Amino acid sequence: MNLGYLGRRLLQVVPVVAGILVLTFVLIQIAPGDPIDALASEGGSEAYLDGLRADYGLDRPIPQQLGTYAGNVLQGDLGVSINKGLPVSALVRSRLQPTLLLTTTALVISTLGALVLGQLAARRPFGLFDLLLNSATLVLYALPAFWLAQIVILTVALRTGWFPVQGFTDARNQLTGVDHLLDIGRHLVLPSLVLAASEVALLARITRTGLLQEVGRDYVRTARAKGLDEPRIVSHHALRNAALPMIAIVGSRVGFLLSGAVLVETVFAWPGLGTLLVESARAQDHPVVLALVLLVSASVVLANLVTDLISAWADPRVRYR
Amino acid sequence: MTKRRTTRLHKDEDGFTLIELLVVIIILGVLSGVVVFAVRGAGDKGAAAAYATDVQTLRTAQEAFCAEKGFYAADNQQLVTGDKKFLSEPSTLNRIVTGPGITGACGDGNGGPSGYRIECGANGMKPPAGCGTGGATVRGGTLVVGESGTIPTSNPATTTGGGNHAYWEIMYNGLIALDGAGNPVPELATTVPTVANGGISDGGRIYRFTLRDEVYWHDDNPAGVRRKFSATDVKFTFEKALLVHHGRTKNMAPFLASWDSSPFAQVASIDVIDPLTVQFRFTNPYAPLLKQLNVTEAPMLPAHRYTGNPSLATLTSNVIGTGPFKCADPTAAVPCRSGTDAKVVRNGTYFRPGKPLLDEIIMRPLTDATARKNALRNGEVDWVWDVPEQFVAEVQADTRVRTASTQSLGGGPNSIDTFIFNNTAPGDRNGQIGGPAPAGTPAPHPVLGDVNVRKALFQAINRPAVLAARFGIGKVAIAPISSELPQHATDINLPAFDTTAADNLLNAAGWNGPRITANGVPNIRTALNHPQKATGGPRVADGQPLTIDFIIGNTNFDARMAVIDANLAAVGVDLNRLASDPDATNKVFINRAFDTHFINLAQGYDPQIGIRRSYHTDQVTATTFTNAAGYKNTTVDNAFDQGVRTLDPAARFGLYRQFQAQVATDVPMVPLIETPNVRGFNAKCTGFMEYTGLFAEGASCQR
Repeated sequence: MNLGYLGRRLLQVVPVVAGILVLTFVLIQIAPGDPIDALASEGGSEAYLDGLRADYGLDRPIPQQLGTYAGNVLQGDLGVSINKGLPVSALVRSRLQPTLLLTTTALVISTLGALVLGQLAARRPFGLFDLLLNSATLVLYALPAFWLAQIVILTVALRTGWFPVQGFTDARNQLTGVDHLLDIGRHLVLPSLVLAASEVALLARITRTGLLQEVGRDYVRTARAKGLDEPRIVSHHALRNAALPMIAIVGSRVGFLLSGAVLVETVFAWPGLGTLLVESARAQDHPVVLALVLLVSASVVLANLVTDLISAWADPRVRYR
Repeated sequence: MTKRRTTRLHKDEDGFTLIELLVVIIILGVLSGVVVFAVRGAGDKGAAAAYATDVQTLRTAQEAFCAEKGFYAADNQQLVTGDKKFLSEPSTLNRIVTGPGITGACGDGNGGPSGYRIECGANGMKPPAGCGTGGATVRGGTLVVGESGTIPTSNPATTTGGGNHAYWEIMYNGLIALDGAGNPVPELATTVPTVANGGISDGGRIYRFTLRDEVYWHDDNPAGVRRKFSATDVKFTFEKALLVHHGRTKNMAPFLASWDSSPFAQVASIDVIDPLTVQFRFTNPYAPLLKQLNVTEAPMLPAHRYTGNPSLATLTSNVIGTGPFKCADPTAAVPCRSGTDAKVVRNGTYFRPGKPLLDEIIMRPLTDATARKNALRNGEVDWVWDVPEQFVAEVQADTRVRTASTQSLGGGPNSIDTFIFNNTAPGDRNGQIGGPAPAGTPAPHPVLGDVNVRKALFQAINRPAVLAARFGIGKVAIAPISSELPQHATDINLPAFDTTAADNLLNAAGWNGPRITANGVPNIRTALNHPQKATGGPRVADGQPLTIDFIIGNTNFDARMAVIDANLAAVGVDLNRLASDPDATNKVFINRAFDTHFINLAQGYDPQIGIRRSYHTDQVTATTFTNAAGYKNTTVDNAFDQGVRTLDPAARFGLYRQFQAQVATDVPMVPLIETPNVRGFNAKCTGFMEYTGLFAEGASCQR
């Protein structure tokens, strides 16, 4: 590991995130709407509303507000939610675990699923399974996640009653221990499958294409000539090389997963960062929206960095510069 | 940066083939077909849904009657007679025997929901024998509520926000409750004050309430410090919270004697006579008070937790009430929570014997309406406050779920969809139309300031079609005051739907030039950009189509607004949407920079609460939910000014009838349809009071 390279890449994160902070802050200020109007509901006089604005520091000039906010962020203070009256960092922490669980599960399902399906399809190119997989992945990739989620709820969950259609845990029965984990697992099934659907479609096609390229190369022919059996050739030799583009893509898909999670979390009422973002945007809760945009931006930038590092680890031909 | 020397893919193996793209196009085509067929016939479904709602409402009323009396009502009429009315919407009686969807022959027992039978004539639907056999109450258990908003921190005494009231009213009580028909019934007060029982005196200037003994706050400690509800709490709640912060109740303040609203000096003539007697004293007779004391308008707060003049932030963090449910952990950093859900538990010392039955209520934020509906159908939540109109038929077809219709909403009851004309010049906050005006008032709206144009637009709108766009749930408004209020007039003549009359009125008003078409839609020219029209000059056709602007704060209203759009286009008026977002709409609204506005207005239980604000001259302000039309009329002002101080019901009705007749003449806005709310609940649960925030006080569920 080249520590100098790592340091330089980490330093690049700072201006990117700072730029996003300023841009988001300014855009939110320009957008129509006022968090105090949303907070006060009906019947507030202008003097009453002005008093509330002063309480939240919203009466000060925008550059001053931005400066104060940036200073607080540097000290780890993300502010207080106007709508909920709670520290933003506490709110984000409380919602982080469900989103991480959902996106990680979707990432694992889509990656493993894609590896298996891609291999099966590459065994007999243009065979029946390959054609079926190609069509199925095309459909899955084309379907919007929120639409697929609704269809799954209506056709699977409501008809069979096997799976819950909302939430992270059962509200009525507050379980503990293993039962609690199983309960979370039951709630995780549908949203994670829906979120993974378009990812598995894309990654399976990439795996298949990569494998088809690799199995035609000299080193595979050599392996065959040495008498290795086909599954071993694929799993030990071709797949590792075929997976390289997939590693690069998986990193860049973190952003897509997080944005997809907003829709899937909303449909399944999954209490994660996505639903928090939607709730906060509706309530004009600027501090929470800002914090979430910052968090997601930083996550995407860091995920790309990690992807580059993994690519270099997996492929010795890639060098740190 | 990292430089990779990885193998490039061949160019021809990237992307999708033509065949693959064709497959996608075919799939999208199939999906579009599915959607088109699903949407077709929505009108028929709407009528059937409305009928099904009526049936469910009647069934719920019968079960409530059964729970109260121990037997079913002999006929539907019995549900709406007597001291306590079990059906808030009597017209259901008429619709129930004529609605579509009755599949069985009259009286053969096959037409109604399970166990009920359809009767001929006015008797309507009959219940099965054996009251109470199907809904035995059960002690204990958890009720899960699917809430449409996120968990708010405020207590309901400092805001009128619907989400706040839906979450937290269950922890509080008012002095006087309102039953399903909106009639006052005792809650924390032992009786409803009347002139006859001496509770109301001095011609209606003084109201005296005797409070229940043995009502304790949630932080009461029987083994230590006792916290008993008293008259001091009533005085504190009004002077420090309700009259300062509650959007509707604070409008009472100017009528109270000795009211001083200056900061840190709030004081009113709310007198503590003794610990269990409190007296309100007004400068003049005050009629609406008994409709302003329920848990929505005036939830009681504990005075012992505050000193001096508490800030809004301090008040909103209160979690101590006297209600049937309470916080298990009131001193926690974030109280009343179970993970990301809100949670309240049974108040074991609640003043009503035997209640509540449930152990706890979990309130889960399900902000997406479809998610709430799905969770209700799947049995994951037991109660939702609103089943959106488009899902009512689907939910009612599911035997696992029941529904109940009510005029009550979290933020305020008796709502009417209203299409408002800005009667004043856009951007002008002080304009007037109709009747004598204060001196120095600025110009009326160049187009909508003409009463004939307003009448024409009114007559062009097909209000039954607007109702159909709400899937038939509700009814066409026939007067500015809701039919649920006793002041509702049935004999005034709002302009009827008549496109020929609308055309004639527009022609007579000078809009008789050749129609200009843009993309095939005819337009009239507004005078906003044609000052010649405003001064009576000839209309000039310059080939540039113009429009009347509108704002709409909620996309839920889009289908209804689309009907209005089409209706007005048919008589040559083109509508242009300025804003759809609630906050953007508020901004335009405050500056009156609009021509028309679609809004759903909650009228409350008295004209003084939710209607006055839309029509009175002193309500032409820069604040939302006030007189958006900029309408000023002395007859109307007088009706409200006298009505607030007139106790006699007949005299009050006369005054508010004058107001309604004047509005029918001036048409500053169009009352479109009355919009009831449909609650949804688990069929295993019973005993709900769908019309109040204390909905689950006597509820129970069989698991």
